[in-house]
Amino acid sequence: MKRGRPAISIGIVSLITVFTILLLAVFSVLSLSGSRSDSVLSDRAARAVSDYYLAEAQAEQKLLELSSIVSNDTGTPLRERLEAAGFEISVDTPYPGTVVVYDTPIDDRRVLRIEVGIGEQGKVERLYRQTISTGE
Amino acid sequence: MNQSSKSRYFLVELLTNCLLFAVAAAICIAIFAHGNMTGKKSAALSMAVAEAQNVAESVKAAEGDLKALTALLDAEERGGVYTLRYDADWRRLPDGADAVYELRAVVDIDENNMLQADISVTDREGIIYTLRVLRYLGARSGGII
Repeated sequence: MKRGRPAISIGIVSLITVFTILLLAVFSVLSLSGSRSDSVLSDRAARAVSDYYLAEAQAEQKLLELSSIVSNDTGTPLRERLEAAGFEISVDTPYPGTVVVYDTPIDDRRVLRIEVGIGEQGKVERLYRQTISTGE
Repeated sequence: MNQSSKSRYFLVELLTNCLLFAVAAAICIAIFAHGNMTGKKSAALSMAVAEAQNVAESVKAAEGDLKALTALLDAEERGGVYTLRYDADWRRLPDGADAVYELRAVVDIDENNMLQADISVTDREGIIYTLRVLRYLGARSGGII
């Protein structure tokens, strides 16, 4: 019996082509996934920096608010005025004056903690700044 | 099967494979090019963030002294605007040079003694990254900040 020739012949040329195409596909997918990972990483890093500076800007706005509370002497004790405005006053501190602590959120997992000192002459001074992980 | 028939089948196989390879190569080259472009964009973003952060820290360190900021940034100030130019490898270029990347920092001090700096990094296509810095100048910097 005479066997018919297949419509598409598969020889060594086809095998080499399939192998080359597979190689090309694998390398292109690897290249794309690598560059996507880099892109995601740099986007996250950029967002983290933006979030940090935004939190710092909010902290500076609060510092301005605090400074205006300190300078507007209405006869009420400073401690009461600060507590009425929602500022937390730190106790047991070696600083010669009042120490105010406040937080501004950076993102879901971090807050920026600021410690500000108010001297005897009502001079406002930045004392400490720390990024704290909230662990959420 | 005679020799001419074998040659004809081989030629058909060769042509089919050439066509298949051309299509696959075109797709793969497009993917490579896309990956390369994405990589270049993310590298530019990383560098833009680093340069913007560098300028932001200089603005904060200068505490509103524009002369000190001019010295820190090594750039000329025109109406509160500092312009820093970079080439394709993020090397600083002198003023007036044809730049690939440009960083502009607009520095202003308002009536509440609040220093504001709007920093933006652009390339020829548009804005890559922006950063806003505020610094209250009425408070002294003591402690570690």
